[in-house]
Amino acid sequence: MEPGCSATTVREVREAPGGWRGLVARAMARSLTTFVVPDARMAREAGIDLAAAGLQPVATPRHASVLLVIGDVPPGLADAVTVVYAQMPRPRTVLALGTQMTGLLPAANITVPLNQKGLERGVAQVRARISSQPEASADDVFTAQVLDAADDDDGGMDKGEMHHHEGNDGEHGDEDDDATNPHAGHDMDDSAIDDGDGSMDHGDMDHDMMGGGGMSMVSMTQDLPRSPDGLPMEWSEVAFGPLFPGLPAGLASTLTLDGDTVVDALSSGAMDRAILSSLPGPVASFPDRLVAVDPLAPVAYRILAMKALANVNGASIFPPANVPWVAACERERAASHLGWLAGFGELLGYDWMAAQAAALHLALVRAPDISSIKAIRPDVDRFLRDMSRNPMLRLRLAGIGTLDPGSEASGPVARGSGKRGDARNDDHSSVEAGFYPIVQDAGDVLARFRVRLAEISLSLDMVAGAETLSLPDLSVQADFRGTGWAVVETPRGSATLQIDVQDGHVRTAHVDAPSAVHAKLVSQVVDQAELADALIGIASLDLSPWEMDG
Amino acid sequence: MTVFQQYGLLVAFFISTVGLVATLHLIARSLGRNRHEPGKDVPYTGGTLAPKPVWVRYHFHYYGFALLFLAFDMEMAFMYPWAVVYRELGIAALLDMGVFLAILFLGILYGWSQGALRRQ
Repeated sequence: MEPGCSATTVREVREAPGGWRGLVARAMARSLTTFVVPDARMAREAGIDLAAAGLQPVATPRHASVLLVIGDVPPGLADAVTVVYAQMPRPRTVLALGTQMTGLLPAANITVPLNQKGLERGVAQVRARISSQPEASADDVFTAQVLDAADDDDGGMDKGEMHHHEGNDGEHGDEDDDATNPHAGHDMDDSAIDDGDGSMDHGDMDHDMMGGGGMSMVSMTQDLPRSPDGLPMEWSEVAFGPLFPGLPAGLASTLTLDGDTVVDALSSGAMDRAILSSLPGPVASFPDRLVAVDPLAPVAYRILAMKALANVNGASIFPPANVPWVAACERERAASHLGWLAGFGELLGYDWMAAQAAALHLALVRAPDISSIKAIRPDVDRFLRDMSRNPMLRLRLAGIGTLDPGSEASGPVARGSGKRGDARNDDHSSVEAGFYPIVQDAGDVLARFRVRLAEISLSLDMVAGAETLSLPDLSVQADFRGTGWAVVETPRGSATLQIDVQDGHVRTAHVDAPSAVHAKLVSQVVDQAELADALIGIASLDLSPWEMDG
Repeated sequence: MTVFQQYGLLVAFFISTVGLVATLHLIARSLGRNRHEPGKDVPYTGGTLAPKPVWVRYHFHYYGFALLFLAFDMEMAFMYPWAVVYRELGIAALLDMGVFLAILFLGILYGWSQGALRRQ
């Protein structure tokens, strides 16, 4: 056993359950499904192939037997991880890659390093653990403070301001002798709430209390604003929380639904890392600290830090050749768009697209040099051709999520609305490598989709014409001081950085990230859209919740 | 078959059904009892706890499908016996079925105007 990986904890002698239970336990250990935290895209960014390790990612914890944690859990996701673990059926295991999960509930059962070999070792330990696990004892109950709110009966009723149920308790008391009234007094015990039963009985009570006043939909929705289609529906606020399949992990969206159309939405980053306050510090390690701002675009942020430092008082720290930056930046752009396509396909329900995009994303992330990128190019081209010709996607995505042409945006979001703005327009080496801005005019989801497809192809062309993928090293003078500014076109849009350097230390650093700007467009994108269209619109903005930290 | 045999068959069915249900119940129980934990039964909403109860009225959007089902499936059900005798009844049968189809076709036209044929 190598150091750094912990074996299954042995508290007392575990005897493998024999007979019937052993058979079932061994069968359950054979096919492992996993719920990935933060999400499967982060696993691919770390170069990890889940299918090759024998894990099948699923969309909800209810189907999962392994909770796979990739890297340190940001503080804002701690509660979400607890809730997700509580919703997993037994047997369940927490497999942590590259993190100790200190101070978190649940604690990691198995910890391995963050790479493919570590994952495979961890999976073997998970299988051993599940097939040897005796029946959990009666005192093995998982509780946490955040879960206690689930049992709060009054909380449920108080939330009903939108539901207009408060005036009805008295009437329910009178209806106790009604044969079809099983939930007298809204008595919620710990048994599962069957949503279908609830709404059906609700309908029955409607019939029984036709003249009863409070329960009729007309009086309940009397004071609510009417949507343009004129249907008086019930309003509710639904959380499409931090770990929703298809949306980026860490994006906490709250949608206000009028029946099934979305009236408003608010998306915020749930990571809560306060990363921007950790940026000041020594200059030599500043690029590493800036990279931590967005793990989904590390190369772009590293280049941003280096460019800003290079612009401080015109001091030239780096070798003059600019072209190596272009190849690394464009490779990351292509990989980011492919990763976005995988999540987008999952949200659309188009499994083939999601699987293909995920495989290509992983291959591109893992490619060690330019010749291997050229080797996967035919597959990428075939995939892009299929995507752009697909009539079903055209029908599905056209005309939804349309943005106002005057909205403040950058990156593919702006270029999908007809704006030619791109930070690479002014970058001589990008233009030399073959860059030109790809623009679509419609401003809807299909336009942004097409822009990203075309950008994948263009970026890979630019990479093919380069010599190397590596970035230059940073060497700093001791009496380095001044202010610097730089802008870089990240895969999501333009990011700007303003720094103030004194005595070899970065005193202040101000980052303007594209996702923070695009988060304000969410309410435009979902306005009066059907729920599915609204979610697709939010996904089409390609928000990175890591950048949306305060 | 004597009456006794018939009742015997019925009793055998009853016992087998009860036995099957009991066997399934015992198999499930042998794999471990349910344990009640907080937050376990709350529907999964991406990591946040859904408010309880979740009572929202939904628009009966699928009435379009119900309409199309009636129009095609019910008409098909009536056309099967009609098809058997249609040739010997001649033109009168054709016109009668035509009236029936025309009425149902109005339903399809209404569904079309309300977007029931749109790909969602």
